[in-house]
Amino acid sequence: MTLVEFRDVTKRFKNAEALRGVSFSIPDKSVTAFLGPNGAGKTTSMKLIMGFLKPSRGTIRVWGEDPWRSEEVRKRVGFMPEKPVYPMELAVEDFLGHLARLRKVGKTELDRLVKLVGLEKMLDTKIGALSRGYVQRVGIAQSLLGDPELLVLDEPTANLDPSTRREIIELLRVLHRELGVSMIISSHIIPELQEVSNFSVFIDRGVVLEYGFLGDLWKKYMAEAVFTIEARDINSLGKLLIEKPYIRSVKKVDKRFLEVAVEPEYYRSLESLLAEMGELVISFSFKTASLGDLYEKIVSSRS
Amino acid sequence: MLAVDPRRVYEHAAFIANRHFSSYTVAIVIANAVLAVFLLVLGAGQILTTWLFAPLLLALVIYKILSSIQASRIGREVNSGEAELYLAHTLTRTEYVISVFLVVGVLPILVLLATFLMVTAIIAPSVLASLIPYLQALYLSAELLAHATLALFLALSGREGLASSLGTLLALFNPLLMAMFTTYLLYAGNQNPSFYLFMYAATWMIATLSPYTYQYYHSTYMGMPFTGQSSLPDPGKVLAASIASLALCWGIIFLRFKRKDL
Repeated sequence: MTLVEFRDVTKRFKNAEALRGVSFSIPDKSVTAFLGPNGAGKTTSMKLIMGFLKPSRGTIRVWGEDPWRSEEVRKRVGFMPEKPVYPMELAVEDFLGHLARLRKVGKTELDRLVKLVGLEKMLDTKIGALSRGYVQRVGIAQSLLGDPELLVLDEPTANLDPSTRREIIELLRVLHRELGVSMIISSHIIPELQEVSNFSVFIDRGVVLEYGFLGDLWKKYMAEAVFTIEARDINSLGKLLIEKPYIRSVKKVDKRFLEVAVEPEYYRSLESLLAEMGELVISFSFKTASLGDLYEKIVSSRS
Repeated sequence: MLAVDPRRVYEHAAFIANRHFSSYTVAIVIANAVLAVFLLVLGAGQILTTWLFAPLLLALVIYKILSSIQASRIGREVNSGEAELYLAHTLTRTEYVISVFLVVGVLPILVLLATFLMVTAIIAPSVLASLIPYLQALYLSAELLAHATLALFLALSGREGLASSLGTLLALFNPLLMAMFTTYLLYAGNQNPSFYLFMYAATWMIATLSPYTYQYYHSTYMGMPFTGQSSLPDPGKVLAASIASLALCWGIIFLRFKRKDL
């Protein structure tokens, strides 16, 4: 089922065209990385999905409904804005309590969410007194109110230091695992959503460059790939693999797992080889190597 | 499209009002202090005359300034993107506009009316049995609501600075402008017919924005021994025009916000 569909969407503001004839669709139950540099049109796209903006041309559908006309769609969506526009003079509890009441979410549910995002010790603190990382947690907590089926998170790691950014990405991963919600997450830091997302939309200067499942895009653009291999004897398997000329690197993850980077054109060869090594290999899976590499390849293929 | 959940409207209006509780407190304290001084000087149990309502003009100015500041805060909320947060949490655009209207317009009116009834009850309790105070209450409500509507119109159009500055200036200088216009019309209007027409139209416009102040001036002038030779607009018609303009303005505000890019 299609979660979000943009069909030939253009959005003009007074002096600029933020989106130019954009078309893409995002499948349900996916975690979508909405990637592009600053000013690419990510926030405009997010606001169009939420029905906060009206497209100048084209159609937008969220679960088949027009979000501009049907305000009901927002009941099923959680939204986190790019800027921390929360009322800084309010305590975390007062702010989240108000939003929970709007959504008719009970105290028990609110407490569960607060615990899930790690805000339970900050409830009495004013939002303005929180660190940036905790402010982002407030943003994530409010977006999760009412058990949304889709989370639209606009630059959740913007303006954060690397360790806090890491924390937020980890939190998103946990949320996806625990709650199983679809997510659309935008970021201008291309590689950071690699571990969370399985679908991607690449956008630049108001034009969608490419979109699709990361596995498919990887194959299409022949970016470097990494396989995660579960082995009975990682040392023997490692020695065998490192001898192959198309293997770029072999990395030991723990006692049972290896991470093997391979030249893109030999992706199939390694897959066949691993399938034949049944006595050493328990299982293997493909993991996209670098969203950054993929982005570079997509941009260079377009220019 | 226009489905409204009163519970959500109440929740959000109460949230905004609680957030800016201190502004309301300051306004109420100042307005009531002014009235208390007036009552102390005047004493209770007087007969009802128009000038008894004079201190209410001062209270009106204070609540108009409060209303302008609140509207400006709403404008900031819309401009900064905070309003999107509330809309993302199932509040519809219609519910949002109604809730800010309650806070910026209706809440100050309720406080002002309570004050007005208190003043009337202390000064001339017997008048409460007649229609006079209730008609005055209607004029008062229309004036404050017209001011709040103008301020909210500017604020929701993204002009938060103009909402507070123009709102405050109008609140402060409107009685002065009104005095100048009506005095000119009444005492010098017959000297230059074309200018008289212009001033008459201008008086109508400004009186539509402030029917209580206008009606106060009108009845004051009419009570004077030497009235002018020219006529002033009828306060009843001004009130009707004010109410009709309010209804029209609110329709425009709702439609504009429904179509607004946030």
